[in-house]
Amino acid sequence: MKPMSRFWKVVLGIALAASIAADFLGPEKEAYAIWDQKVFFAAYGFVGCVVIIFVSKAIGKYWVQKEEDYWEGTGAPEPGTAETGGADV
Amino acid sequence: MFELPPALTFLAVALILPLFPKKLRAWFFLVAPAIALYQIGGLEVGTRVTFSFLGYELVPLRVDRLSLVFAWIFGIVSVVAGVYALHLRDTGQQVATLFYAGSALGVVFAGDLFTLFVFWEVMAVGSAYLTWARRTPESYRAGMRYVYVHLCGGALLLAGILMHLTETGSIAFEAFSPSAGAWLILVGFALNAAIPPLHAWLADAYPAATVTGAVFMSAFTTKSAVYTLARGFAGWEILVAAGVIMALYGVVYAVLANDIRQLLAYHIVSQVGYMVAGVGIGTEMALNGATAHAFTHILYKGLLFMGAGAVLYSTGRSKLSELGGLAKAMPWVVTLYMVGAFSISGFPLFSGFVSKAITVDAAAYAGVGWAVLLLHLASVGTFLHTGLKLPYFTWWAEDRGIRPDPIPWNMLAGMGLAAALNIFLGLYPQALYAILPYALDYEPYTYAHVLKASQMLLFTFVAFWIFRSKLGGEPLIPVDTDWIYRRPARISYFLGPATVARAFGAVERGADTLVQGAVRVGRDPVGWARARLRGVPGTEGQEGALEATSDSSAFRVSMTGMVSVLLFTLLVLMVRILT
Repeated sequence: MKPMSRFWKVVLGIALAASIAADFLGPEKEAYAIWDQKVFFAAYGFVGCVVIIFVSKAIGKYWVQKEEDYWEGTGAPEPGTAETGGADV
Repeated sequence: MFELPPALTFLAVALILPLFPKKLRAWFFLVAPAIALYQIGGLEVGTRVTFSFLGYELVPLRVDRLSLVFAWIFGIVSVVAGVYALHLRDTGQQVATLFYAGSALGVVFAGDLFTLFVFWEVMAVGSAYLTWARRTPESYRAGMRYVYVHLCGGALLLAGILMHLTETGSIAFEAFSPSAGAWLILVGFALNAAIPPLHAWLADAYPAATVTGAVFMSAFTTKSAVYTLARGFAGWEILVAAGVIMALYGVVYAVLANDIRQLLAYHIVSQVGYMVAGVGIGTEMALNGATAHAFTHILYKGLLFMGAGAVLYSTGRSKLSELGGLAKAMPWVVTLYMVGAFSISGFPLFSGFVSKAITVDAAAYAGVGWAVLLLHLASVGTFLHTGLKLPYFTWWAEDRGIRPDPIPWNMLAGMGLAAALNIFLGLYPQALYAILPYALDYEPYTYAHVLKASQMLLFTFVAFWIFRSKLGGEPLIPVDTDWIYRRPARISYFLGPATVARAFGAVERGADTLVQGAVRVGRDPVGWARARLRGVPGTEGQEGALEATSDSSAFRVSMTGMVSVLLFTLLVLMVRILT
């Protein structure tokens, strides 16, 4: 995995800082729900992403992910093969 | 002309198209959506075309604001995807696509359930052909599974329609009240909308379809089902939960998908979840949100499938574990794909931003807080997969030294058209809001909206960058609810069709033996009797007597005699019946 260049790190850092600062510097508004709290979406984006990655990976590893040949031999046999009793069947 | 259902235009062009020279057919394809869009532009709200059939009033054209929005986008995407498919020299695909797209228009304009059902089934067959047309053993099998599942869904839908007819005496396609028939119809619609656990056909068939076929498939089947849900089941609360589950289900499976078109297919499930949830909330704002999101979704998802199709076309590969380092070789494809990725992820200035927020805000206004939080979580997953994972591991990450073939100009042109429309709607959402089913006073570009979207996207990117090594493609497949019918398929085949076939074969062989024996006896009864007597104790000497008194055909029934008996029997029967 290639690391991020210094230039892009700086750009990203500025963007992150600006998005947080904008929450505090912008117009005040009434908080009706949890998602109206300051920096809620920053935290939700980061934590949500981590949760999605690890929960999905765990579901895949322990339950639903299989080898690519998993379905081989599970379908109905091809017509005309010995298993189907020949071409007449 | 405006009284004719636009579906008929597509069907007429489908019948005429094979008469054109092969090189012109792809261009002639565009005539159908062009005329249909002209027709749709001339349709007035309130128009109804009806005719009587077997005592029922069929309504092949019912025009209102809801049907018009879907008709517009189906027409537009047919042009865009038609341009993307201009290089195609496959008449079967072109004709099947015209039937498919035309039937989708037939569904949205159908004012009665019989007309709806007919177009519904034609859609299933037309779209299945787009899978078979890839002509690989896997696409053949995936297409067969697709047909079986959709025909089962169609059977449930028909059963529901007939029960509804019995219950209400009406075949009009309007909002349903809860009843056994309505629930069956809901299941039929839910299957096409890919609501889990009835969704596995989508992630099974779309990656197996042709490059161009998948683009059309991403547009019509699920979105026409969203239309039918919005028409018939708005406000059914079960759909809120179903939609939210869909939105997250698709996200989880997209983490596990290795095939780029399967990843995008799972994100159709996820995105349609927003629409289904909106339908379930059922307020005017939520229905506007569901409709607007269906409109933009068709444009950006089509663009994403075009990008993935371009990769498959030029490299012959579609698995993340086999891709990487293609960005320099196909800069236009990656640029245009990213427009679709920004749109689906809800970046400000792109189409998804102006549509997704309506549904989520409608959920907040309706007091469904848990749905708001979970739909936002699905948004995080959408950006993670479609905007980050797929492009990163396809066009950047590890350079595998792949040298892609050039792609036809028209594929880029189709992608360019779709990208332009996504940006246009992002910059000028009022063009979309003006055609939604209900009046909408909504401003997506507020300080709070833009800020929360920016924060969520930026911090999702940070988490992706830190943990990106966990997201690389693996040569594995995710097993889905299709396990229910795929895993026991061999057993059920031997218990079902194979057993019936073997029983049929045994009866057939028995009948054959019986007839052969009767013919043998009838042809030479004396010879047959002689053969039987030969060697039987106590019959010595009788063979000679038989031989002395007859030749081999002495007791054979004459043909004249047989025909006479048959004719006489027939005559007696006729006299008996007539008198």
